[in-house]
Amino acid sequence: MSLFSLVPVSPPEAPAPPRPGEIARGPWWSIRREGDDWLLCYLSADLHGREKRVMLTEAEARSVVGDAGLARYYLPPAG
Amino acid sequence: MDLSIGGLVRQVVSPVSDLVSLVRTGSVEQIASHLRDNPDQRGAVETEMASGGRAGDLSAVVERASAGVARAVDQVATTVGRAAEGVLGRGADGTPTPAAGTGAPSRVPDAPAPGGPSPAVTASVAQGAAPALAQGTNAVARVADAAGGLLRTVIGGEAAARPGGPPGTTGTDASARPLPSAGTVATPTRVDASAAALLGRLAGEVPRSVADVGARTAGTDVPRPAGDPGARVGADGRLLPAAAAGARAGFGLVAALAEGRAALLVAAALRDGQMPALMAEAGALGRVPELLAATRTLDGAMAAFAAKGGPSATELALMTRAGLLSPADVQALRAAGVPLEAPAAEKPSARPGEEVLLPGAPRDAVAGERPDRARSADDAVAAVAGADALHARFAAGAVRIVSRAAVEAYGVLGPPGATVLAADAFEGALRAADGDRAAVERRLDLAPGVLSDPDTMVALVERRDLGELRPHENERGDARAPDPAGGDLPAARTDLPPATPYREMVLTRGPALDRPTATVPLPLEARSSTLVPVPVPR
Repeated sequence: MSLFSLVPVSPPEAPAPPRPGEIARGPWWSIRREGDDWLLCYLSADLHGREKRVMLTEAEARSVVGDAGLARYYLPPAG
Repeated sequence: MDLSIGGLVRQVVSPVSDLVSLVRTGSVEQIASHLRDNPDQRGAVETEMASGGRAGDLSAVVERASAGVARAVDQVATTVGRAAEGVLGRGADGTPTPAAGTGAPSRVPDAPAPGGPSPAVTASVAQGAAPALAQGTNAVARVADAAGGLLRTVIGGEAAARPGGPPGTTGTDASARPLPSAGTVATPTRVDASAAALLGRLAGEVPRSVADVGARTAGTDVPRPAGDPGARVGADGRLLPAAAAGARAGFGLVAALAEGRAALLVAAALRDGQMPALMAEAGALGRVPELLAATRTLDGAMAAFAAKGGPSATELALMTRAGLLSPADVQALRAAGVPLEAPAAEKPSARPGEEVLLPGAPRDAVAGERPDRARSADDAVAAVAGADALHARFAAGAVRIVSRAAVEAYGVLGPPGATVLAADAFEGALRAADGDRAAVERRLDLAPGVLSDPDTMVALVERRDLGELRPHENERGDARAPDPAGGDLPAARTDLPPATPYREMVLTRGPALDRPTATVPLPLEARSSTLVPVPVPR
């Protein structure tokens, strides 16, 4: 009895849609707004392969995205 | 615009022969100016002055070189940020970035660094193929060099290592005046002499280990003369130009970022005057955000050191989070009564269950969650026998353990430099454990339960679909590497760009196999036939 089976996986044809609060996204990282927090999220390279989250100040987030980018992509939560 | 490492190196490199001539015949101010531009050459300057009968001028040179360094430090973040915009030209969303000063608030006027560029650098820039880039990156190099010198000076590495050293090298140097950007510290707390000595020792070790990251990634270990961790010598025994050595650190950017050591790499680049090369590398890889975050972390710490003549609780907390302190060092500092927690107002507002890390924070290393592994020198040598040997170990493909949700969110199996395991060795570990996932987790240094987590996916990438394989730091015996690297299984780093074909290994615990359990790593010829190629949709 095999200890595992191999299942072919089709690479996604299109990137996943933006997640709530997502302002900008790179190939393996994104900047998100959660409440009052600015988060730099990225897929870690370690063996766990989890998404890690780094707190940013608003100034740091703006330095990455730019004022125009923030204004364009950041939509305040409904209500 | 020449964005190559070589091009940037050529613009900032200062030949050793020029240094000898300058030290032998130049004025005190000229030598001090050179030292401001090239703080990494301080050891060479001291040696040359001593051997050239100018030891008496050394104190004056150091004092003048130190003057104004603090202001240069304050420019680092702003200047580096502008250089990054210049290198990238576009924001993370793909749109052009706003003009400098609008997107990233500037803290200080863009005044020239004290003393201005050295004649050699100015001439080099003037003759460069890309004057605009050269001007910007050279400015970064100057302030970064100065900042690197301050890092060593304020922390007291050289002074602690050599009591009675020349003036201008201690953490209480009057020239290290308060900075306007040092307002991030709420409760300054001086450390005692023993803690300062400890930090001094760390200051000497940190850049060395960071440079090693780059050297390892580039596959070119650079020997250093004993007792001089900052200097590097080439095969002919001559000192390498700092830029060349630092460029190797730049090549290690991916590895350093991947293992959460961006802050350490920045420290090495600052010391070596390699921020231009590092920023160019980061721009090409799209990893400027992390690098800038690491730079700001260091800048804040250095500025606060300069302001108070000693690290505060906040700075120590920053250093701890940035991985500048080992678990043993943390224990020693705590034993000395030094608080290592940041004031409550400065703590990140993490919610329960959230994993919040400051840039470059190797939590495992700080918290001591994973024991250090000592490897023999033979193991380390064998692990880096060459690219061919490394690729041979991955002839059956590579296994990448990754979060399913993260893959769905980003569409990739990992960032550049992702950790992968040799597929046949992973299969061998499974068989050796008879499918017991907990046993495999222990062997791979994975957190308990990871392999049973439905979010975890074990992806198998065929050899033909793998890109370049690079040695994993843990394979080199780096006991402080913060991330697990598969225990004793062969590990490597590789890039897994979008659309990399892979298959999921769905683990199913089964009965003991009817053939003898193999030890790992399995020899290739004894590899199980389980890994039968399956057509992969393209």
